Amino acid sequence: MRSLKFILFLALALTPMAVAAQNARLHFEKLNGLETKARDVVEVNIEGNLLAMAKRVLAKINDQDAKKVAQAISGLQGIYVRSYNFEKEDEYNVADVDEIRNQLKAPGWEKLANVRSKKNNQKVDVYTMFQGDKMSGVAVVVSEAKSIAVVNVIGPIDIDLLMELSGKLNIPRIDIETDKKDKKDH
Amino acid sequence: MNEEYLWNKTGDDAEIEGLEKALKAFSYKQTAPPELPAKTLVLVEKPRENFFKRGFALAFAAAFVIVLSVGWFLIPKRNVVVGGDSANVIKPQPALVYQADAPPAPMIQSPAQNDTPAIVTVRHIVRPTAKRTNIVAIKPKAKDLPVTLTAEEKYAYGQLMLALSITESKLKIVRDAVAGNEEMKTSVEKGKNLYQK
Repeated sequence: MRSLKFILFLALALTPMAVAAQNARLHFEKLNGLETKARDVVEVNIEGNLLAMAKRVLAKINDQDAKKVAQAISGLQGIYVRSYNFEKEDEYNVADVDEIRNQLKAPGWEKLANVRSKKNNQKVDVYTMFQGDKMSGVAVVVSEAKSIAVVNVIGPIDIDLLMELSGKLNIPRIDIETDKKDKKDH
Repeated sequence: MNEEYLWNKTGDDAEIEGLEKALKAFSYKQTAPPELPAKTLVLVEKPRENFFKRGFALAFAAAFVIVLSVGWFLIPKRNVVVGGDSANVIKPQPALVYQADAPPAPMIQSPAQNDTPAIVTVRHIVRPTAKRTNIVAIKPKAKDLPVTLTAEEKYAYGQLMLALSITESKLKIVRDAVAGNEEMKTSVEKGKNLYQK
């Protein structure tokens, strides 16, 4: 009976946390179908086991940049990215992007910064969500005449540290030695 | 005494004759001149002490004294810390030499419990065999080791880096844009929300 109460207590205690984490999650359904129109498409969904595996890889790498990345994303729960580049202007529906911006008007999201430029009709919005003092989400929506990009980060992330690593993220210098199984695949 | 007999040996004088007889054994007798012995003894002059030998000995002694002095300062001495607080005791530096059997921990003699500053002596026992051993622990740098990744790990790592790279590049747009706008920059740094109605 005691154990049942304890489980119930845990479930009640953890549910708001889970809900709060989910609140920072944006819905990209409106962007579905753009991949057929776009010239370049990047869609990344990294969460759960995949994210844990990537963190383990970062822990393996003995590189200062990799350590900083690991530090910046230590509490990260997921990253979702949609990026589309088009050949011509107006190949996407602006309303679809505005729908995502509307999601960021929900309670909890706070606009950190936005940029409006007539050049290329650029619009950049950065939103953050906090649970108390702890960051629970970040959203970046970028729309230009020929491109759209939406980034949704779930969980805390050290933005300053991430910016410090500008230009280095793709190149933590490591000698990656693929195992035999990997070589066979190629 | 007959003077004539004494000086010219004329006449006679019993007293003097008696003395002559008594001393006859010591009278001069002309004999052949003495000859040198067949074996020639060559007297060799004792050589003087070599100045250089003495100098060498002095130099050797000086060097020995210097080596002893240097050794005295190089040998780990007992660390002495003035003060009653044992927390201030300087920890001895760990040896950089691999020791098959781990050296004993430094022994710290606890200071006397009184108000006056006490002298805390730390004895760091270093086994001489450990110093002499040539087996040095050379840990290979992990950075030099290649990271072996499975295909799944490579995929996960690549996806994460791609996502972070895009995130960073989009945030950079904002950073570059606000760089020219001091007011906005300040608001961003302070976390203010200029655009929220």
